[in-house]
Amino acid sequence: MTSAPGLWAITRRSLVKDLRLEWRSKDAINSMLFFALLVVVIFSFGFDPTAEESRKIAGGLLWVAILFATVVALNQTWTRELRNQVLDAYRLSPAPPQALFLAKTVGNFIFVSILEVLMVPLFVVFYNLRSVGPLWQLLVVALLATWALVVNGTFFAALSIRTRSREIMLPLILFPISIPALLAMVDATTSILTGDNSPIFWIRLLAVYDLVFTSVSLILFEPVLNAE
Amino acid sequence: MNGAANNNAYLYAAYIVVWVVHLVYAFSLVSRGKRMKREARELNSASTVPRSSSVG
Amino acid sequence: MKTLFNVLAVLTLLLLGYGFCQAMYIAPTEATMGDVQRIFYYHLPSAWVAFLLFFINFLASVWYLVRRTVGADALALASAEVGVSFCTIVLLTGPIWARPIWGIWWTWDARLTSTLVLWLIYVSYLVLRHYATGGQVPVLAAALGIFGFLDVPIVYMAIRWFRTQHPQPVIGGGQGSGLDHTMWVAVLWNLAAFAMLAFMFVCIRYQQALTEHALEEAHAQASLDYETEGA
Repeated sequence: MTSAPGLWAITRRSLVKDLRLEWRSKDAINSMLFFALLVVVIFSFGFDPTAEESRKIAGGLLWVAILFATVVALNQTWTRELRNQVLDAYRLSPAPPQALFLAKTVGNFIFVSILEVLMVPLFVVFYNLRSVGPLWQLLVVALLATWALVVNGTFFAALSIRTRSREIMLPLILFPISIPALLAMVDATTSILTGDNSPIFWIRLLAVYDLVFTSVSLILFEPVLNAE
Repeated sequence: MNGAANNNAYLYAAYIVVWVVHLVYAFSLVSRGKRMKREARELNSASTVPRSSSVG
Repeated sequence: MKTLFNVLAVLTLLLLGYGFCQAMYIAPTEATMGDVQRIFYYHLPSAWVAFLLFFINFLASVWYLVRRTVGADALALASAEVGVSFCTIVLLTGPIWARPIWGIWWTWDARLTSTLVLWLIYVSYLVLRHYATGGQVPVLAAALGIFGFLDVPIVYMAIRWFRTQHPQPVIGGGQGSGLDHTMWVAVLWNLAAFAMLAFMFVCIRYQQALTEHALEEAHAQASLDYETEGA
């Protein structure tokens, strides 16, 4: 047998497998997209600002909407794993758990990004948004922010898989520890949209948050996975 | 500073709050302790009873 | 062991009593704020005790993930519970103090907001421990305890920056700065008193957690025996 494949190879393979599975069950993606659309519309009914105000609050509304969509998406992806007893297969396989965790996280990242690609233009239309700051900064914020939500979300979703009342436990655990990231992503977005302040500190904070929690998740995933 | 006398109500309220919280927690400890003692007693008596009678 | 516990309990009560005297009578009245400022002698020590307890939870959580001992898990649970209790006191006494002094119940300054987030994190920890079921729960909780604790400095930095951009009245801005020597004495006596109280609570809760675990095992064993006997 040839030498054992590296971490990245396994991650890539798992990810491709996951994406293929997701693609085959397109109904899940479709219902998630519709859910995301509904969230945007309902927020628009709930918060109807004038053009000047809209730039100030759009950041907050957008990220709260994405946060809720993310939680629903995370609960979704692990439900399927539970049904097919995939978690047991993970434990038995010789693949390093970190690879599986990374694959799951990247998969969720792609999934949530697709939702964002739908939701953001809708927000722009409904709120007549025009950004004062450069768009590439918004992109950086979006990438870092999405990773922040998804890395912790995947970690705790994976662990709570066999916990009863899992659906409510996940947001309940996830929201408090995500607060600094949420503050950062909202304020960074608002800073860029309004051009009032520099978003640099917030972008740095998001980067630090991502680094810290990705490392901690990678370190803790194996001992936690092998718990039972 | 004027209104200092009125502010004493806040002072007492704060101290009362502190003691109430601690007492509530102490009470919860006591009641849990009692419940566990009762459980332990039931378990003990159940294990000494002959098998033919129901357990628990 | 029992006598030692009783002696410590009496000592705790004495300390609490003396701390109360210090706070209410011995410490001088504050020049600008008046007697209401005395809330501070309960507020600040409670905050320090709460932070210490959450740090203990962090250590116990790490230890549990490394060694998986029942004791580590019991200590994590006990320190989290008592920590939330003290943190609740901080969040209640703060606004009660702020209202007469600054005219507002709450402000989103760095200290208050970080304390609120800390409270939320550990309440979510307790909700997880008490309401979720499944063999994974202690491990899950330990992970949450670690995540939560690491989060706190990030929260503090974030809100400090947020506040430099959106300034608002800082509650207790002079806290700790320019404190009279006699006031520090009152703070320290109450710190000792509340630290002892926390220690006693944690000891009791720790013992109870161990007993709970033993009871669960005994229940499981009993039903096992019953089934095998009945066969």
